[in-house]
Amino acid sequence: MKRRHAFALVAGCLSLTWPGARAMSQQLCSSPYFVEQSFPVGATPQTTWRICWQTQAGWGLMITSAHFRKSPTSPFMRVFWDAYVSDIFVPYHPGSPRYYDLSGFGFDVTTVSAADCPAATGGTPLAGRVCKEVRDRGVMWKDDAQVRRGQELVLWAAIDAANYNYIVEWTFRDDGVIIGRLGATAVNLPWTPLVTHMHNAVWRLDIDLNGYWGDAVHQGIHTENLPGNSATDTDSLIAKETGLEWNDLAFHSLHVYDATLTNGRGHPTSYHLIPLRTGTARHAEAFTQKDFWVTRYHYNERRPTLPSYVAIPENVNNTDIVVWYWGSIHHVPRDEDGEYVNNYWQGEAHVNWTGFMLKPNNLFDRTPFYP
Amino acid sequence: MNTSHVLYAAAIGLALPTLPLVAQQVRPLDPLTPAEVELAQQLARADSQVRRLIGDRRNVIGGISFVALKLEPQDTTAPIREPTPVRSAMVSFYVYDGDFGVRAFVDLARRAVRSVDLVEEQPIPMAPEEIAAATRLALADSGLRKRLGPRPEALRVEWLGVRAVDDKDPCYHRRCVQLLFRRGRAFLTRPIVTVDLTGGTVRMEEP
Repeated sequence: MKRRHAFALVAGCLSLTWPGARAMSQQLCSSPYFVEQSFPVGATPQTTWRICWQTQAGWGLMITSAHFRKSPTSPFMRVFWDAYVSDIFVPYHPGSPRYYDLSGFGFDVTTVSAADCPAATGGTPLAGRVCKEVRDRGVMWKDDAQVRRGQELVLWAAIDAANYNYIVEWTFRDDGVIIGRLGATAVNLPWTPLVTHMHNAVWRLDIDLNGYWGDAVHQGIHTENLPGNSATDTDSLIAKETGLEWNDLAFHSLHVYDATLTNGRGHPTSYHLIPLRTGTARHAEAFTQKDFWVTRYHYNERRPTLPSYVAIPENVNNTDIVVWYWGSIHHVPRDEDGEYVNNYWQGEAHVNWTGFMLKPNNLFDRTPFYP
Repeated sequence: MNTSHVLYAAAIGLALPTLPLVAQQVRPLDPLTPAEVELAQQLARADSQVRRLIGDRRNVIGGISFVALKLEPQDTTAPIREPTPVRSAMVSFYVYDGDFGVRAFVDLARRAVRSVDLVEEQPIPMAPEEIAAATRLALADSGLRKRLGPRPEALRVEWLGVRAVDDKDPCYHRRCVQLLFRRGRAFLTRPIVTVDLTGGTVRMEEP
């Protein structure tokens, strides 16, 4: 206690905190790290995202805050405190090597130019390291002859990981949906370019729905009541820190609620974490034995040593939570990846992806972008 | 694992009066400035807990990264929706003797080390000076120079860290880096060149 008092005294004397920091929905970062995007583009704004981003060696493209406004008269609502790929674990099928492509190396992002990010497709390079794209996202809804196309803001950067490049991509859609993806591309490991391997991406998502306090996570589970014809869906509270498996037969998802956030109809608002994946890998490493992890926020828990974080499970109901999700790229080399030329390997593996979607549920009062 | 050793080392801020103050124009979520990187490094190196864990052992800073901390619930008297981001830096040391890491969280506004962790389960990133040292060691190896062909200095060098899990692996509990040599877009496929930075040795293997 005495230490805390001394600390407060010194802090008060120095008083160096940024004066505008209290207004959290205001601009928290400077240009070009601040991106504000309203939709629809070129018309009366209906929805708006405010994003701060950074790139850092060993972390890639990090979202350092994200707020969404669902209508011009609504307040901005925080969604992320921060969100980033916590690590990329790459085990090769023979058992070694087993690389940690972020935590072990400190690789930085590489440059992007107009060639990566052409204006003709809505692209704008930011700080020469990140591509911002504002683009059409296809059909939002269609009902016979009536149709509405959607739009999205995409921020991406590429980590230069020796022979590989990893594309870290964050998409913020006009309807409040967020999509996180990791893509692996460039040159297969030159010593063993034909050996199959996995690129496992672990995302750390500090979701602070409507502010940092009072969040809870539920697990969505679908059950077909065989041999009958009926089916049921449940939404079960996760009370303590834990790891959870993703079962495709049960359409497992995580639902993040805020204790007080409802829409205009009084329905609880949540964000659903939905995997976008092609399979499930289980390696020897303990953190790979579960697909989702739910932990209480602790600022020093940043890399995925997840079993240790939940070893003494803390309460995660109505508090400040962090959700971790990981997905795998199963890279089976093919002739299209490259070829031997004398004592060299050359050629580029095209991008393979894994990721997830965060989809709002009962955020809007009715169908957004509807006449 | 919530076992950080929280140290409110406020006095350190007063013990380093010659350091530049953190620029007040910097917004809370802007990247670290060069002055902040320097400040974080100095505060971390001066911290008593860091010094106790590292001692006189050979070490290197593997990375300094920006972190926007939230005040944790035990620090607040009443829940608030939007806490002020605590502009901070995470300083990661690698200690050769013992093969472990030490990580310090530095509160930049208060010029104080907020907590220090011993890192044993996670790798610590490689520092640029380590990669430069590994490249120097490798290119000084006459056997490797013969394998690389004419003008080896003209090759572009990329690298991968090695985290050995098998106790029979020569890199087990050693700081090792593998070097890849690139001519244009193509990569040399052999030999595998591993530099043991702990021992200062170079090893060549055929894949």
